[in-house]
Amino acid sequence: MRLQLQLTPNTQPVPFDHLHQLTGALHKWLGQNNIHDGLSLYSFGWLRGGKPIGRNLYFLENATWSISFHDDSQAWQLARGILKDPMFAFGMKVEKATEMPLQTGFTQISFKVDGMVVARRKRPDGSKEYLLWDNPAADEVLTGIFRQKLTAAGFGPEHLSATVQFDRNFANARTKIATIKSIKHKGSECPVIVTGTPEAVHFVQLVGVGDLTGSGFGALL
Amino acid sequence: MENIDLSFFLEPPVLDTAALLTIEALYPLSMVPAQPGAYYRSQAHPTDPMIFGMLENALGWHFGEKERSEFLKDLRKTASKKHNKQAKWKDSDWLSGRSSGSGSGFTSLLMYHMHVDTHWLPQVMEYDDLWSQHLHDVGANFMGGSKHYDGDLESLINRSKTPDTTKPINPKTKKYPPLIEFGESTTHQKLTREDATILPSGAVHFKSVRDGYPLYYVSPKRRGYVVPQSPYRYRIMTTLTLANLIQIALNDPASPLYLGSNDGWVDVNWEQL
Repeated sequence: MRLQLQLTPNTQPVPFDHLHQLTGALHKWLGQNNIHDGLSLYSFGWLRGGKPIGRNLYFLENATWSISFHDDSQAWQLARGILKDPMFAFGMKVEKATEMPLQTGFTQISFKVDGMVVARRKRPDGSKEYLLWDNPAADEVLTGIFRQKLTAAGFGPEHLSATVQFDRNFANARTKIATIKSIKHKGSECPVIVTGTPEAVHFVQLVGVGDLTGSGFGALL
Repeated sequence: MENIDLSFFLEPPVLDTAALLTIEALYPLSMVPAQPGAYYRSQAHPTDPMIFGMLENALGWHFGEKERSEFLKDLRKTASKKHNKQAKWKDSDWLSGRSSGSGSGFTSLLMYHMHVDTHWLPQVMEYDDLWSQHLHDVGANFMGGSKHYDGDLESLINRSKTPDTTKPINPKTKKYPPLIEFGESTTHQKLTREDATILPSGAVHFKSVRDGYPLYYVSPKRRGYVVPQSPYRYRIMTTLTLANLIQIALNDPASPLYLGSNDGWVDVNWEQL
């Protein structure tokens, strides 16, 4: 299930690096859960509707925020949490949550990215290398993670040939850096082309692509 | 009528009690917020006044417009005597009676003591259907609206559909005028029903045959319906007194609960948070 939250304008400045507040709010609303461990079968985008003023973002009207879950029961858990305590952060409050439709029945779609996509691989020394949109090796990483998620969600072998690749024909692709608790992550703002069974293409819209979808990266529009 | 306790209204609207309201549609819903023209377009989600109206039905407060307005006036007067010296309430909507109301003219007794805070809205499937609108028309529309009328009017009605070929063709319609023409201008004769039924031709005032028609008739209208794919959920802020009243009422509602048209039955759950 995909949800779009509508939040009231902020009453305190919103720093550009606020991704961990998004994760914090999500887990506050979900209550006790183990979805943060292991592969994330959910994804969430970035706050939309803000204007940069000085070193902060301001949401003068409303902010919108998309959150998607493969498991509907987690969405209902979130509903309960939000309705119990709709306060988010920075003086913002959820005033409306709307269940959103997804694209269905397609075997290939180019999806825009809600935020940025992180693709990483381990170097021989154990450190992590960030692979960006212009590096074909990034596609292997994105496809690998997607197939792991399909397997974890119980999809059969007929779905496991699905692939994810950056859409390199997109003229405005760019790299970005986002900081979570002083760790800088390098990612790509570039659409991705997903190919697979209609069920797999439906699934990717919920779980996102790439690394760290549970921390606010790789959500799809 | 059972005694109805509206004393909650006399308490200042300090909305410090939160509740979770869950509404599950048991039937397709048609939620039309304002009196429309020919097409009754349903909203995807109920408006706040619709939610208040549904809760008032559960409480058994099924009052007419006039009665409701008098209750509100009396309640406001009593509440004002007690609270209008407090700066906080003096110019409040609660005591001044300011209200936006609903598009259909419904004014809820709950509107000052209840606020729909956060909405959780499901996806809906939409479709249109024909709906039978029951009408009571005092004008001339009843003749075209109703297919039923008294049997002794049959020959007269037949003559009103029969062209009078002795008269010239109407250049606009390119048709002969009927033998009997119904209308409401001064040239239309007001006759007794008996005299009208034997009139071979002429202009007859529609009132001459009004009592040969039913008071109500049915007109088919296009109406939109929605089928929510999951329940509507709301965080409601209210007073403790009203929260308790609603909890009791929803355990044993005074009437069937519906949203929009009265066949839009719903199941409602209320949980104080």
